[in-house]
Amino acid sequence: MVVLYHGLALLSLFTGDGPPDTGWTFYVPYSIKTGTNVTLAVSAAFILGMSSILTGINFITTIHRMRAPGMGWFRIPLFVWSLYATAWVQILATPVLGITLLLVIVERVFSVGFFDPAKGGDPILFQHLFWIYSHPAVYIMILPAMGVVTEIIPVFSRRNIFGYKAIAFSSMAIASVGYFVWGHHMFTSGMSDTARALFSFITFIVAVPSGVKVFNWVASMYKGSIRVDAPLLFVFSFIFLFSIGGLTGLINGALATNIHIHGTYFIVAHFHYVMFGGNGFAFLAGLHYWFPKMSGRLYNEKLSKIGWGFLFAGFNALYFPMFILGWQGLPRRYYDYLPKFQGLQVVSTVGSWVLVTGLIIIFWNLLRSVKKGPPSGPNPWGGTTLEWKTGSPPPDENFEEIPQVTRGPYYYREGGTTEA
Amino acid sequence: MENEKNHIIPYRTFLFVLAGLITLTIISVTLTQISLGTLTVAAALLIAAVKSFFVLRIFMHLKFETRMFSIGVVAVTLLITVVIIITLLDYLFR
Amino acid sequence: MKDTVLAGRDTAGAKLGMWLFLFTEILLFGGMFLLYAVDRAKHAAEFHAAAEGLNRFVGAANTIILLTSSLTMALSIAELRSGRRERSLMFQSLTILFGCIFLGVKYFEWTAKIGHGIFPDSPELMKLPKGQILFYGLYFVMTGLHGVHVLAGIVVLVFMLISTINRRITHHDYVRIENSGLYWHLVDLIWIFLFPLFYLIT
Repeated sequence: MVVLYHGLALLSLFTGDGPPDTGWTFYVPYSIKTGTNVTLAVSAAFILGMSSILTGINFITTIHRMRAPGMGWFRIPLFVWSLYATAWVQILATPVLGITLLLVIVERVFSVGFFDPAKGGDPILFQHLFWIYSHPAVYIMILPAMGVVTEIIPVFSRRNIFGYKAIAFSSMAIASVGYFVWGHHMFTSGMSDTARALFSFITFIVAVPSGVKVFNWVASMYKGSIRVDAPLLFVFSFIFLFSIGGLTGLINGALATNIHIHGTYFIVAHFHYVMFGGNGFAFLAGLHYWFPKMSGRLYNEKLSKIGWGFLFAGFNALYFPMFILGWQGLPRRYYDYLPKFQGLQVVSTVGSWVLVTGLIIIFWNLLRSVKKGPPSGPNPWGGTTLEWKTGSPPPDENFEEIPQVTRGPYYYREGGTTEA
Repeated sequence: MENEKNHIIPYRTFLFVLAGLITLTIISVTLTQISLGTLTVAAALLIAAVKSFFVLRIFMHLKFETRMFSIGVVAVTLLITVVIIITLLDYLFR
Repeated sequence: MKDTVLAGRDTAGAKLGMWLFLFTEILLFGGMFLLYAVDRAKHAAEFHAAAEGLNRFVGAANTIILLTSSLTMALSIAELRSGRRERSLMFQSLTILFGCIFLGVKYFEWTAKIGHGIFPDSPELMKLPKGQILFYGLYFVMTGLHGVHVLAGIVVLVFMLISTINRRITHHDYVRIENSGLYWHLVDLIWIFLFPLFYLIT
């Protein structure tokens, strides 16, 4: 289905009037009126949504039914908890995107009028439907990333995770409360004051479980034997960058400030800090952490840190100025900008070059090491979760014999040793 | 848990449920011919909810399945209801 | 891990997966119910007026047809599990028949409306007040989406019928038809709500 999506999306570039010019949010009335290939692109997105739903169904069923013997709910690794919460969001939010996309096609073909004031409709209704999915969607993106972080910290500080249940339940809390904040994307659209106040309030509430995780991650490292290898380096930068992104989310969520920064580069900076600084860095952390397991080899540690250095410096040079630019009034999605914004724009641009250099170093390191890295053995990091008890890469069906689980996933003792 | 699912519901139960569902349908048709504004609609929806309860519990076997499924159905219904209510907070207070 | 999973056949897992899929369908229609709720809140009186244009007895008949098809579906599974394959085939066929009758009735309802010039963006419809335009818009889209689901259900049930005939589904291995039954009941459930919202709010 993912392949079909990409095929259809590519097709939309070459047929009809060309690719959609509506922006990724497909706001009405323009998405209904424009002659560009909206129907094809939207169909592609619909199919992609179906693949997301199937994944959600698959993961929940697997986690419920196919745990190893002895692995009760509170013995599953916290990454799995994060995937479980994510899967529920995939199942319960994506269908709303489905109906929204169907309605765009229906309106384009039949002009029913749900979003057309001349026929009694309301364009803001489209925004409601769109964001009822698209806000939970960002939690689909960040929850697994947080799960990766939770896996890496115990291993590289040789300590059990602090507050297992708190982290597990905070994942579920983010997934549930995240359903009710969608209106914070629409504060300037014309919604009632009552709705805006409610959405702002709940937006502040949803930040709490994320805060719980940050505290627990830091607490887990207290008195630990910390080894700052690449995975942990990426995790540290995740905590730092995601916190900046998350705190600026609160600024966005406050009604008064939102009026000022909606539609500006402040928002762009915010979501890049949470998406790239958060999701992206956690992805790279996981890539380095599980690289030996997937490939059977080690990457070059020094090169990974050099790559990280360029990436981190470049990232902040690229995106931090956008907070300032946005605050000063630079709008999003404009083709040109006033001369007074030039200076910081240049800083951003140079930052992007440094960032890309970092990415090239990182991926060159990993790609090269797939073939040429030294063999890693089954457990180069001394991890205690089940994947480290099988070969690198794992054999068919993952384990020679199905493991019997007798304890929780993290069991580091004082002094950092683990039972064999 | 596997034993519960081996339970086969007797014919009579199924037939009674259908009879009840048809009766409720007829009641809702006649009741809503009396024009009581919002109350009429509320009554119709209440009857629909009762019908759904029986379809879910007997036809869809929820009475005999693990509790988890019933909790899921309730949770999903609650989710949509809350989302609709919040959206109405926009429209009703503009 | 459950023994059933190791044996390669996890009926409880299959049922869980089906229920999760049903949740996605509830959310899909939920979006349309949201549209209905908002539009009705804004145009309550006009919705009432527009509903006069639908025939509540035809709607009720269709409701009873679909409810009965839910019965025959449940009975077809009960018969299969009790080892009475022939009777199960009979009830499966009846379910498919009732589904087709339902769609047939809807076809006549739709063509009647369209014949009177009432369809999305029609000149006749545009003369009516906005609330009525929205009502009929919702009517066509929601019953249309529902009808598509009924059609898909009928196709699935035909496959189940064929599988029962060539004994790929048996009284030992019936999880597929059980899951198909769940889907069919869901389609019935959605109509149980569509019926009063369109036909009974006069």
